[in-house]
Parts: sequence; structure tokens; C-alpha cells
Amino acid sequence: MHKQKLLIFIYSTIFLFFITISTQIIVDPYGIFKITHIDGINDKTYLNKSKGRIENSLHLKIYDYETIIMGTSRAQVGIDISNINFENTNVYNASLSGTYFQELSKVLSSILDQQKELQHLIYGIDFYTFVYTNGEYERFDESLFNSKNYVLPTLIKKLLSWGSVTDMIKSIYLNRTHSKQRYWTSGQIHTEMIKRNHKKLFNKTVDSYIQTYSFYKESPYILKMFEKTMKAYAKKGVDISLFISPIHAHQLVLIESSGLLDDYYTWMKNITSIIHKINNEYHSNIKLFNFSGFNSITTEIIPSNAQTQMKYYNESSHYKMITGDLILDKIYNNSGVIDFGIVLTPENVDKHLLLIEKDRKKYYNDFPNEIDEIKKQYIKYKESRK
Amino acid sequence: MLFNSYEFIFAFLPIVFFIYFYLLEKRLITGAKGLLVFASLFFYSWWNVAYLPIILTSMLFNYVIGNSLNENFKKVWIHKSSLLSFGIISNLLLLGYFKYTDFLLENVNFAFGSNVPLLHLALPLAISFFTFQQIAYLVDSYRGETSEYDFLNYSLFVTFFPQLIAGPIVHHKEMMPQFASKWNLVKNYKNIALGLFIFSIGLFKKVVIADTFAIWANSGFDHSVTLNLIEAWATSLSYTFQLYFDFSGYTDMAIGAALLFNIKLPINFNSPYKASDIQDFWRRWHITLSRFLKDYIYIPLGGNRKSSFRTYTNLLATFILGGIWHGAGWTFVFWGFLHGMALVIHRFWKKLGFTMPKILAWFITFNFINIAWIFFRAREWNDATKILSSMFNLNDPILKYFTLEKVDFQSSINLDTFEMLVFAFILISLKNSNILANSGKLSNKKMLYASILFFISILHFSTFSEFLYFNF
Repeated sequence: MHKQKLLIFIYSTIFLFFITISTQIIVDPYGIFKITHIDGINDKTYLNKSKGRIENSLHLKIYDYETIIMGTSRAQVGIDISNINFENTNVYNASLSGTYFQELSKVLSSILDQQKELQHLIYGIDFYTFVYTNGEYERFDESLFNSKNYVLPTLIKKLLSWGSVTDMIKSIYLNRTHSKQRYWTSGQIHTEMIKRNHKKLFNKTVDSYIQTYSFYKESPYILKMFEKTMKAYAKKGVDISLFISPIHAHQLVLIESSGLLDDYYTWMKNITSIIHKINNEYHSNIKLFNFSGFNSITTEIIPSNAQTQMKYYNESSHYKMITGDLILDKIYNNSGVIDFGIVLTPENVDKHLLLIEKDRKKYYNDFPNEIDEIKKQYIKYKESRK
Repeated sequence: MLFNSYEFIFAFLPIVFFIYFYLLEKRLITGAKGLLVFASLFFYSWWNVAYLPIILTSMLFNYVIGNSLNENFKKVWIHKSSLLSFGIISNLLLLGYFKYTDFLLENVNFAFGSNVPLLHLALPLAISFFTFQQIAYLVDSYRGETSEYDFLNYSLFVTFFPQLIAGPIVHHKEMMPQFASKWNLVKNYKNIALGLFIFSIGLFKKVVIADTFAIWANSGFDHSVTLNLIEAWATSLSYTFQLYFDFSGYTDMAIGAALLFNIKLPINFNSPYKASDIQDFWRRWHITLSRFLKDYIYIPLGGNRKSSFRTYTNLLATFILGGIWHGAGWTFVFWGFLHGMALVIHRFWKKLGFTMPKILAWFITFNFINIAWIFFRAREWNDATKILSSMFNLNDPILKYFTLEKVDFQSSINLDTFEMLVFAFILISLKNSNILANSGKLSNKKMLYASILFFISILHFSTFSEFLYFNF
């Protein structure tokens, strides 16, 4: 009789585990398994954990890709994996949000070890990530990018957690209601369907980036780390396309207000010089494009009303997929908008920076009120933190 | 190894269980007991193998002294009371060295303005528990209340993994006969089912309830900003519930795991927050510690056999020592003092023949316990006074708000905290795990509920957390 009670306990526990794991695999709230598609249940992947680190690391551990996109949330939102240039290639957007180069370098090394068919790395580099952070912003340890973690325990932790069960229910609800929230496909975040009050978002972004830029300090250590990582890729014969993200002109105004414009230009020169050195050493053909500056895309007018939607930007930091398409056109076909995307070399970098300076002065003259507004916001923020 | 870990539940426990009963089936009784001792030491060493020699030495030392004190053992060349004193002092010195050296040095430095460097010794796990357990054994051996046990059974009594780390503080009289009983050497499905039932409740208490409260308690106590009145109360209540569900959850798991091996551990909690006076509370909270303090400190001091004043002094001294046992710090001393004083007042109140409505008595008792826990939890006096002053700040502007949505919380306390507090108050008013397990028959429905609790608990395993009483 008591044996029967024991069996009830054991069988019901096994049943609960089985049903949870199988529904998790079928509903697949984080888009890991892609076993089956059920209309209204798992059409879209709305959720992720650790800002996508666990999902990305699982994907990159399990599947092989020919092209990897890397970068920060800018590339995660802006580079479209369904772009026509990726038509005949297996592509994954491995970009991470809320990251710095220290974490990205570890992820890049892990990708190089794991991805045996990798041919092309497209990497959107960002000035603010080249700062020494003590690793405090990393979520590296939780994921399979950390070579000490194994697939099965990571998967079990992922599937058998209370958070995953509640996320599964949430995911079904979001799919059934055809939510307009952002969703994920192969590492890329889709945000295009969200209507935005751009003016408000631009102001908000200024506040958050004042903080980001306030602890920027040029780090030779990080530059060395960058060089080492790129060398490892070049050595393995992976094509590398680097591009400096097309931040909106407002971001450059903020960089200038933070007293970092010279640092920004120096950083650009340093990167150019590192790439040139690697190309010479490994006979590689790494191309470095600069899409930032005061060109026809980055100086897009910010609508003063809440309804009008911008064509190229969400806010000053994150560009839209249409901008990402222009980046890819330039990288793949050297086509697109003429003044958007210049290949930097040691020969042209100084001239190019002089041109940016000239354009900057013109922009300051053309939009004095906007510049004034950013500077006031900067001063106000700084005073509030005293 | 933690009870609330994958490795304990899915590897250690089932492996030890199956090998133990396999050896018993093959009539290898000594081998089976040896396995339990080895497994218990492995379980202990999982945290830090460096502590293993300490527990082994302590065990061997106390076994030799205990046997020498036993009245059947005649060949003792020194006086028994001297031998007992030597045994007790040695145990206390070991505990004192690891637990109280820095506390002593800090106070010496403070009193004499000296600058003696602190040792910063790591406290060996479970040292407070196994030291107390073995002091009791020595005293009982001296009193002639122990039998001659072999070293294997004695080792099992000290190291048996379910109770090794944080109790219940078992008495040799209740353990040794169980280890020796032939009836306990056969697989007992009733005990296994009951064990899993209690273990599941304990696991749920720990990982779902206590660990949820831990977030808010830690956030409130460790937050540098001054808390508002609501946050301060939510913080103190969160810790009050965290501590109960954490420790009683651990005890339930210990009782459940021991039952798998047909060993019945004593209950340690009997709905303590239902207590309507402080004496009642100590009959319900950490019962095995109260028993130890009564039998080996309060009664030897004279108990209530002398004058009223002496009884009050004995009570106070016992609880101050109980406070120090929990930790080397003045906040623990003060916590013990508060409880001692409360017991003195309660005794005086009873002597005068006063009574009060039961609900008011419960309200006063619960709030006293809640406030006293603040000193128990606080790392520094300032932490305690910060929380207390916020709890009783009647000028807090927060009082003018009527809805929680309008309150700007500085810590991680939010609306969920209050929902959880209501849930906890409901839970403590219900039957406890001990009553649930022992009242009526263990129905299929109960087993089904237990499996659901077990399953939900496993889903909460993503972040492991140690038990609070591991620190004591």
C-alpha cells in the first residue's frame, strides 16, 4: 500500500517533468529548438534571458553559420538577417546588448572555436565599448560562450526553471494576441513595427549616454585585446568587414559635449592603424568602414511631433534596418548612398576626419537650437549628479 | 552539498540510499553503516575538505573521553569530574578558537586601545552543532546515562548527514538505539513515502518561500539608503519569515532524508509564530536547542529550584549564552538578552496572575520576536537602529499615502512583497509539516500534492542559496 503511494509520488513527478520539458520544447519561448511551428502559439520569439546570451550561445554551439554579425544592440536591432545580400548564406546575428569589448572579445573567441564553417564576420564596432570595465557588465559566465559550461546542464537550467515556465505562458499569450512587442529571429531584434515618439526618445538617449561617456577612458589594453581578436580571425582566413556604427549626429554632439571628440578621432585612427597592421601581417583584406559623422543619413531631421516616424533612426544610438541595409549594400556591393560609408585607411583617415570636422561645424551652424538643447541637457544632468 | 541542489537530490541521496539498502540486503550491516559514515563525511567535505580533520579529531577525542567517563569503564587514572571538565573545556576551546577569537580580540583592542591583528578564521561548517551534541554526550557519560557504543555507531550519531550541518541537535539517547535497532535495517516503504512527503514540504519552504523573502530582507538590511516606514516593516517581516521558512524547511528536509534510512529525527519547529507568549515560542522554535540549553545550562545553573531572583538570573544567563552560540557579536548577545528579559517578564507576569486576550498576546509576542530578529540579522548596530528607527518613524511622509502604488521604494520591496507577506501569514496559521505528516493517513492525494511541491521547488533551483543556520 505504501509502495503505491511512493509510486504515485515518483510517477507524478516524472510526468510533471516530462510535460514541462516537452511543452517547453514545442512552444520554444526563446527560439532555441525550432522543432515545430504552431499558429498562434509560437509564431514569434518574444522573450530571451540574460539579454540573449544564453540563446545566442546555445544557437552557436548547436548550429553552424557561414556569416556572423557581431556588435552591440545597435547591430542587433539594425542589421537584418533577411537582407538580400545574405540570400545564399547561413547567417546569425550574434550581437549582444548592454555589452563592452571585454565581453565581446570572449564571445568572438568562443565563436571562432565553435563555428567550423565560418567564412565572414561583419562586426559593428562602437567607440564606447573600447573602455576597461573590470568585467562588471558581463553576463558571460551564465552562457555557453564560457567554455566551462556544458550544453545539457545549461539546457536543463533553461528548461526546468520557474522563469521559463512563466515565460512560456507569457509567450503563448503574446503570440495569441499578436503582440506588437519586439521579437527575435536568429539573434536579431525586430523593432520596426513599434511606433515611436522620436523626439522623446532622443532626449532620453542623451541622458543614458552622458553616463556611458562619463567613464570613457582610452584603454591601450582593450585596443591590444581588439588587435589580438582580429588577428585570430585573420589567421583562420575569415573575411572580416568592420564598420563603425552610424550613430546619429546628436551622439557626436554629445561626444563633443563630453569632451571626448578628440578621443573619438584618436580611437578611429588607432583602429585604422591596427587593421592596416593586421592586413600587412596576415595578407588579409579586412575592411574598415566608417558610417558615423555628419552625412546625409546621420543628420536625419528629428520630427518635433510625436506621430511622425523617422526613416533611419529609432533614437540617436540605434539605427533602423533600412540603415542597416545601406551598410550591407556598401559592404557587399560598394553601392548605396555615396557619402554614407567610407573605407578607412592610414592614407585617408586624417583627411576623412578633417572632413567630419568641417561637416560638424556646418551642422552646428544649421541646427543651433538642437545643439543648444543637447548642451543644456548635458549641463543639467551633470549638475543634478553633483 | 546543499539539500536544495541537483547533485544532492538526483545523485547523492539516491545513490547512498540504494547502496545502503543493497548492503543491508546482503546482510553487510557494518558495511552499510560504514557507507553512511563515509557518505556523511563526503557530504561534509563537499564544502571544504580542509574541515574534515577537525570533525574527525573532535569525534575521536570525544569518543575516547566519553567511553572513559562511562561508569562501566573502570580503568581511569584521573578523577571523572576532572576528565569531564577537560572534555568540555577542550570542546569549548575548539569552538571558541574558530568562532570567538576575533570577537575577543576586537573587544580587547577596543577596551585597551591595542591593535592586535584579527585572525579572520573561517568557521568550520557545523562546528557549533557537533560540538554541542558531543558535550551533551560527555555530560551524559559522566552521569552514567550512556551505554558502551562502538566507534562506528558513535561516528554515525555525530556525522549522520541529514542532521550534521544544522541540526536538529540530536541526543545520543534518541539516535543510538535507532542505529542499533534491527527493525531499522529493512527498507520501509511507509517511511520512504513519509520521508519524501516531508522532504518536499521542506524543499518548497526553503527554495520557494524563504529564498523569495531573502531578496527583500537582504535588500532592506543591506541598503545604504534610509528606508521608509513601510519598507522597514516589510524588511523586518521578510527576514522573520525568511528565517522561519529557511530553518524549518532545512529541518523538514533533514527529517525527510533521515526517514528514508528509517531514522526518526526529533522535530525542531512546531508552528513557532503561533505562540501566544515567549515561553510558548521557545517550546516551538528550535526545540532541540531549547532542550539542550535547558538540560545542560539552565538546570545545571540551578534552574527554578532556588529563589525567584536566581531563576530570573539563570534564565537571562542561559539566553545570553544562547545568543552567543548563534554568533560572535554584540548584536547576538543583545538578541539573547532581549529574549532572556522577555522570559523573565513573562514569568513575573504569570506569577502575578495577570492574563490578556489571546489575540493580543499573540500580537505582542509576534511583534516582539519580529523586532528581536532585527538584532539577530543586523551585521552592525547601525543596521539594526536604521531599520528600527524607520519602523517607528511616525513622522514619515509615507503615512499620508493611501495606496502602495504611490510609494517610491528605495529597496527592492514592491507590491509582490506584500502579497507574499499575506501568503506567509496564512501559511503560518495552517497546520505545520509535522502535523500534516503525522495526522491521519498519508493519502494518495497528499503524495500528489507533495510531488507538485517538489516539482515546483526544482523549478526554483536556478540559483542556489545556502541555509541561514549554516552560519551559526
